[in-house]
Amino acid sequence: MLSEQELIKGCVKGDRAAQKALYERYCRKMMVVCQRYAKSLQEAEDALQEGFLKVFASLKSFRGDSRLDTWITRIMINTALNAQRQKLYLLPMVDITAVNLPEDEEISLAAFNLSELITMIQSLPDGCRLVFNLFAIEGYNHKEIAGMLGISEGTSKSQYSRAKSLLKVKLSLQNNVYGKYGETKI
Amino acid sequence: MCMENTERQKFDNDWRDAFQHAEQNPSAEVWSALDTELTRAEGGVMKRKVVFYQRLAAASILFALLFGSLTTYYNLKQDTSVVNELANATQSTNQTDNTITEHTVKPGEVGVSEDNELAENGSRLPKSGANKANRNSIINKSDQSAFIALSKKDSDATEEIATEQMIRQSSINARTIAGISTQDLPSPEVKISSKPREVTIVRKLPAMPASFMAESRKEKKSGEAFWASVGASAGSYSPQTNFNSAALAASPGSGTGLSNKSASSNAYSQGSAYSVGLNVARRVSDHWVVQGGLSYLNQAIGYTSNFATVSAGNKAYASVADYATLQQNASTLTLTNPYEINSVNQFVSIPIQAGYLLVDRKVGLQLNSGLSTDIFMQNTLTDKSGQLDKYSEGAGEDSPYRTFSWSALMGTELSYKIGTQYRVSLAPGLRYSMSPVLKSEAVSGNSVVWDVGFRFRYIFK
Repeated sequence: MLSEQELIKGCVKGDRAAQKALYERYCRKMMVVCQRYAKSLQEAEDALQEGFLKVFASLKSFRGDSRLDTWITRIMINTALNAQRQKLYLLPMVDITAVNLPEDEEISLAAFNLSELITMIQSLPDGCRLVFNLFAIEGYNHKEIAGMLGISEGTSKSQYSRAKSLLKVKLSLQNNVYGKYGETKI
Repeated sequence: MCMENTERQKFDNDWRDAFQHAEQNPSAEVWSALDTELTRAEGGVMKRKVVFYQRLAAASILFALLFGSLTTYYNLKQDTSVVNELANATQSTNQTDNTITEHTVKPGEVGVSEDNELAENGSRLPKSGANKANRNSIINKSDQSAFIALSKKDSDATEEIATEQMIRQSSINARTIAGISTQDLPSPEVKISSKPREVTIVRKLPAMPASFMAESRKEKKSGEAFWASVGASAGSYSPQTNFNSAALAASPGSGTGLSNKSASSNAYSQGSAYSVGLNVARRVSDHWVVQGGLSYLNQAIGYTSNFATVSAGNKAYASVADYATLQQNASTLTLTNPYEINSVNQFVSIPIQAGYLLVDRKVGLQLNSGLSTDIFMQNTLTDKSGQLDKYSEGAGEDSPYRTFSWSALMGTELSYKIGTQYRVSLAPGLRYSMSPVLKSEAVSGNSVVWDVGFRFRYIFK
């Protein structure tokens, strides 16, 4: 098995075997990243393909300041965001003033499998989905998100709240079907 | 508020943890599509590199051809003057006799005219200007005897060299105009009085996106598929033969200064060539073109020879070594003073070439390479002074020339489209004879022709 450095050297030289090895090592993890941002499986796979092309093209500029998978993840997020920005241009995000949070109910995500969670995120409106991913999962703050998406900080916050309330509703609905607190699904 | 934050953080952390090490297999099509894209990207890079090197190669060939043509042209000019000078000098030094009368075929037919100026004793020669025309070779036919007399006065040759030296001296002195030496002229001085100007470079953005520009570039392609052209070319011809060492057995001289010499002919290193012809071409792919045609070739080279061929009818013909070694009986050769011959080979050529279109727009650049079948028509030897008769030899079994020979062709064609159906082009090229035109291996060589052609093309719609 090739080391990370060997993989990088091989990819920079254009060695197809090294490129495939790098792809196979990280494609599954990156597929999840792309799925979270995309609306469908097809969109996610398109973003994955485009993201890896960018990775191979710019791997020679990777200086090792961060972990390789972190660096690749950032490229994937940017690629996915670029794809979504076109939609945001057509349907811009707006402030959502009245957010009706569901009744406070503690629901464990352990009761849901990965595909269900991805489906829930994908079902969110475009703006909500992006902000939720960036804020909740990637860990960016609203100021950074506002800069990244070209929106105001308030818009980012309201979109996040909206996403959160929608997800809670979805979790609650699913939970009612399958049971509470990680009980075995029926 | 604090509770809310805590709850919010827990909610976020739950999601973050849920996706922390999550993995999902993409479909196999992703890698195959990625593989295709990578190959295409590599191909693009390679293609750009290949195109760059192709253009570099084309430019190099073009430069080499132009440089070669110019060099050859100047060398040819220089060669002719140098050979003339050498011939004069050789004549003046070798000929201890003022007049050499040389002759010929059979005893009894040889005669030296007693009552004219062709005599061994130089003192008997008239030196007046009126008789200057007689200083060169004279073929005197009287009493059915063949005479080949080439004479040259020693003193006059010396005079000519002195005259040449004077001309050279005068050209050096020509720098002095009306008594003022060029050295006396003031040397030009350049003074910069103003301050350097500040220049602002404004970069203009393209009027249309790059993707559209790429499409418009494609549209600029000529789209020509079939065309015919007429053309002519001219350039240098180098026979690469071994004539300089071709020495022959000839009949001994009649007690003259040539009695201790052997017959030989020396070819100039370079001659001239021209061709005219018709071409038909068809495009077989985006970049490749196949073309063929028919053309007439004329290749001329100069010689200095010191012998002639005398026929049964006592006619003296200009001759060179390649004939004599192959065909002529040594007894029919006669030594003469060195004289100049122009040898012209004529061919009909059928070229087949493949062309690669490097640039295919209003301005076109094409690389051509191929073969031609050259059918020998005839060779003609002409004495430049006009004293000896012209001699021609056609193709055939008895001919010293091969009827069929093959040449490799290589060249470029830089063209410019005029209107919708015409194109004119300049075509520098190289023709290398793969099979020598002479049958004799002793003197034969692979000739090389560098030429520049002009073509006029008609494009069929």
